[in-house]
Amino acid sequence: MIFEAKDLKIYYKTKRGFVKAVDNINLTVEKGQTVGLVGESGCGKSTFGQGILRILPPSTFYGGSMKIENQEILGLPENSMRKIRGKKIGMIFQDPMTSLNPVMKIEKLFFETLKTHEPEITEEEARDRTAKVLEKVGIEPERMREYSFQFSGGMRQRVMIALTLVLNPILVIADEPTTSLDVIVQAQIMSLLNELRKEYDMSMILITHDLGVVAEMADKICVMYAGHIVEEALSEDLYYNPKHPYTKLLIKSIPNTNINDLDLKYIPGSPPDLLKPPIGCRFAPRCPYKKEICETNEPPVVKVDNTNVKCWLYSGVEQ
Amino acid sequence: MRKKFISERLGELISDLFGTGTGWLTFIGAMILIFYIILAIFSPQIAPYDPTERVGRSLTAPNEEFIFGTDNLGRDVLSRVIYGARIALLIAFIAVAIAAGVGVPLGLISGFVGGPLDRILTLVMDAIYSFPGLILAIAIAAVLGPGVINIAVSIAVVYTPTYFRVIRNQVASVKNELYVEAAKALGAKNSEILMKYIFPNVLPSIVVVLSMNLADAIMIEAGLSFLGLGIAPPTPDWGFDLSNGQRFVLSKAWWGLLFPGIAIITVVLGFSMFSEGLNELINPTIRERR
Amino acid sequence: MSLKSYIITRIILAIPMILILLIMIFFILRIIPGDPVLAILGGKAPVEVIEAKRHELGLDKPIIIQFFDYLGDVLRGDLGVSTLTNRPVWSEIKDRFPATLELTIFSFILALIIGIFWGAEAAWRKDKPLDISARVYSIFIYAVPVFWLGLMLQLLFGIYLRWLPVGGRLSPRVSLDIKTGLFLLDSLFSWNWEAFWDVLKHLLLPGITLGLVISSIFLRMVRNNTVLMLSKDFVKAAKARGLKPKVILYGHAVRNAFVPIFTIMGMQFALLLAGAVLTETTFSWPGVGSYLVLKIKYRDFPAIQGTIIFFAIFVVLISIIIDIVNALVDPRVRY
Repeated sequence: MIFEAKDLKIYYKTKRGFVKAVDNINLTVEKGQTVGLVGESGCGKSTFGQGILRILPPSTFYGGSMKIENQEILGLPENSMRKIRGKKIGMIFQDPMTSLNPVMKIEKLFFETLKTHEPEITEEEARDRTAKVLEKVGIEPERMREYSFQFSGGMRQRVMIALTLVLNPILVIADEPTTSLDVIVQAQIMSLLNELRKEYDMSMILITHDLGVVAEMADKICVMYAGHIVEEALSEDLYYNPKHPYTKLLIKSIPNTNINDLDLKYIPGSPPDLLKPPIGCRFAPRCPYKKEICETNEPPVVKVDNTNVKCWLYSGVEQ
Repeated sequence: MRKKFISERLGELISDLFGTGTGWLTFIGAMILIFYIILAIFSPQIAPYDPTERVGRSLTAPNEEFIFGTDNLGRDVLSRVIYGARIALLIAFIAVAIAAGVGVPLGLISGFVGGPLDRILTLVMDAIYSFPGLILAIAIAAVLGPGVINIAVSIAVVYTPTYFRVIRNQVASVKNELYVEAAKALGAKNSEILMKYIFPNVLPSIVVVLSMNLADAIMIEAGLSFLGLGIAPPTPDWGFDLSNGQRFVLSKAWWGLLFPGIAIITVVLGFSMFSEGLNELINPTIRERR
Repeated sequence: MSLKSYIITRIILAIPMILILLIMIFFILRIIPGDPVLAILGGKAPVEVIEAKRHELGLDKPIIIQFFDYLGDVLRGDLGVSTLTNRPVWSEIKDRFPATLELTIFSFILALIIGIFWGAEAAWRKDKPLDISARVYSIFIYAVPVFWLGLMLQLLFGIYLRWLPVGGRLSPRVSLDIKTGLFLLDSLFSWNWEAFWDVLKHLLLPGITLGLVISSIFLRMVRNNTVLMLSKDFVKAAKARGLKPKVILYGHAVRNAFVPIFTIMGMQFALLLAGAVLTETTFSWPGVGSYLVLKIKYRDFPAIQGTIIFFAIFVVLISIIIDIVNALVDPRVRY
C-alpha cells in the first residue's frame, strides 16, 4: 500500500466555525494504481488533495490518520513534511497559467526544486535531468531558458507535469489537471499523464469533477459528496453499475454523444453548507430515493458486490 | 497613477490596523480637529502668555510656571504652540480653498469642452504634478516672499493639479452618460448642463479631496516655515519654531523641539482620521483600494 | 514593442514635459520677482549702470527672445551665474550634487532593506505582532515631518548619547582625496579607513532620517503585495514541491510582489528629493537641497532658478530611467 487515509478529517477554521470540508474519509492507493476522486466543486476533493501535502492554511485542523508508505504524516513536523512534498508526493495543479511563477525561467524552477531535495546536485546535473524530463513531456529542452508565460496553456501544463516528475515521486496528486485547457489539449495531457504514470511506475490520485475523464484512466473511483466519500468502486463497476443515488445522477448528467438525447440531466438542489452539514445523510435533501432514516441518521458504509457505498438504501442487503 | 495624500496613506494604514468602518476613529479625528480649531480661534483666551513677549528666562526647561518651557527669547513655548495652530490652520484652509477654487473650474471646463484646450491644460497640469511638491512650493514661496496669502498660494499651486485631474476625469466620464445626452438633446445650455448635471456628480469627490488635502497643506506649510520661507517672525509658527529651536539643540533644549512637532503630528493624524471617515461615508465607491 | 523603441518613445514623451516645466520656471522665477537688475544692483544704482547691466543680461530684449535665449542657455548646460558668488550655477550644483546623491542613495537602499525584509516577514506572519507593529510604524512615519524626525534623532544620538555627529559630511581633522565626490566611495577606494568611518558616522543620521521616511511606503507595498502573492497558485505549487519557507517567501512571493513596486518608485523619488531638501537643511548636509535654501536666503535668483531647473530635469530623467528599469525587471513587458 502506497497511501492510506483513515478517518481523515480536514476542517477549515472560519469566523463562523469549522467548515468540515473532509469528514471521516477512508481511502487507499495501491502501488501503480490510479484512483479517481470525483465530485462537484466544493465537495472537499481539492481540500483532500492539498491536505495530503498539508499545504492548507496553518489554522486548518487535521484529524484521523494519513500514511505514505506506512509512514504517518499527520503528526510530522513541518521540516520533515517538507521532505515529503515534491519528493514522495507530487502535485499537479488545475491552472497552469497561474501555478508557475511568471518571473522565473523554467530552468530556475527545476533547479530550485531539485536543489531543495538533493542539495549536492550541480547545476549541470540539474540541467541534464531537466532536459530529460522536458523531453519526456514533449517540450524541446532548449525552451527551459524561457519564461512560463511564453508557453501556451497546454505546454505549461506539460512543464508543470515535468516539474512534478523530475523528483520521481511515488504518488502524484493531479487536481483537475485539464479543466482549464481546450478539449483537444485535455485529451493529450490526459494520455500523456497516463503514459508517464506507467513509465515512472507511480501511483496517482486524479481529482476531477468530470466522471467521463476518470472512467478511462482510473482503476478505482471514489465519489465524494459534501466531505464524505459516498461510493468507492472499480471504474467499470461504478460506471456501468452505480449504486449510490448521487453517483447515478452524476452519470446521467454526463453529456451524451447521442444527438437525440438532448435532454441534459442535472441534479436539482445544491450541496449543503459544510459549516452545518445535515445530521443524517448529507445527500438526503437532494435525494430522489430519500427515506425517513436518511434525514436523521448518518448512513454506514456497506459493501454491495464489489462496491463500498454509504447509503441507507443498501443497508438492508447485509442485514 | 495619482500621488497619494498623506491623509489617504494614513487612512489606509489606520483602517488596515483597526479594520474599516470604524466610526470612532472618525470621531476621534473630528475631536482632534475641533480641539485645534478651538485653540486657533480662542488662542488669546487659552494661551497663558503673550506668545511674542519675553515672559521668563531664556530656555527654561518645562516647570510649573511654563509647562512646555521657554524658548531662547524667554517666550512661553505652550503659548506659541497654541497660537501656532492659528497660522497652520489658516494657511492650510486658504491654500486648499485656492487650490480647489482654481483646479475645480479648470477641471470642469477642460473635461467638458475637451479638444486642444483640454490637451494643453492637461499637459501643463501633468507637468506641475510630476514635480516634487515641496520644491515647487519652495520656488514659488521664494519669489512671493513671506505672508499668509503668499504661502497659501505657494501650497495651492502644488495641489491645483490634483483637483484638476480628479474633476476632469470624472467630468469626461459623466459627460457621456445618457441623462446628460438627454439634457443636451432637449436643448439645455452648456452652462446649465455643467451646473445642473455635472457639478452635483463631482461634488462628493471635491469634498473628499478637500478634506484629504488639509493634512498635506499643513505638512508643506511646516516644511516651508522650517526652511525660513513661512510667516515673518515673531508670529508663532510650528515649523519656524522648530528651526529656531534647532539652533539651541546643543544646549539640550528638547522642549522647544518636542512640542511643536507633536502639534504637527496630532493635527496631521486628526485630519487623516477625519478625512478617511468622511471618505468612507460620502464616497464608498470611488475608493481605489487593494 | 521592443525595448529599444520603448525607450525612444519614452524619451520623446518626456520632451514636452521638460519644455513645459522650463516655461513655468521661466515665468515664475524670471517674470514674477520683478526686475532682476534691481535685485542685483539694488535700487540706488545710477540709471546708466542699470541700463548697462540690463543690456549685458539681455533684459532689454523682448520677452519672447529672452525666453529663447534662456532656453538655449539651459540646453547648452548654462544655468547662469550666481549673483552671490559670481560663479556659474552649474558648477556650484555640480560640486554639491554628489553629497545629495550619496544621501539619497544611502536612504533609498536603507528604505528598501527595511521595506523588503520587514514587509516580507510581516506578510508571512499576517496579523501577528510583527505585522501589526509594521502598520503602527508606518502610521507614525507618515504623520511625522521629516525634519522633526531628524531633529529628534539629532537630539538623541547626537546630543544626549553623543554617538554620532549632528551635521556636516566630514570632520575637519580628517583628510580625504576627493575623486567622485561620493565620500563613502572615495574613502573606500583610497583605503582610508579613518575617513570611511568618519564619513559613515556623518551619513548615518541624515541617511536614517530620510530612509525611515520613505521606508514606510515600501514597507506597505511590499507587505500588501506579498500577502497577495502568497495567496497565488504558484506559491501553493512551490510549497507543494517542498521548497523552504525562505525560498517561497523571498524567491517567489516577494520577487513577484516587487514588480508593481518599480512602477511607483518614480513617485517615491519625488518624495525623496523633497525630503532631501529638508533633511539636508536639518543636518547642514552640503548638498543641492541645502544649496537651494541657502540661495533663497540671499535671494540669489539665477542660482534658485538654476537649481529648480536642475531638479526638474533630474526628476524627469529619473522617471524615464525607472520606466526603463521596470521594463527590464518585468520580463512580461519585454516580450
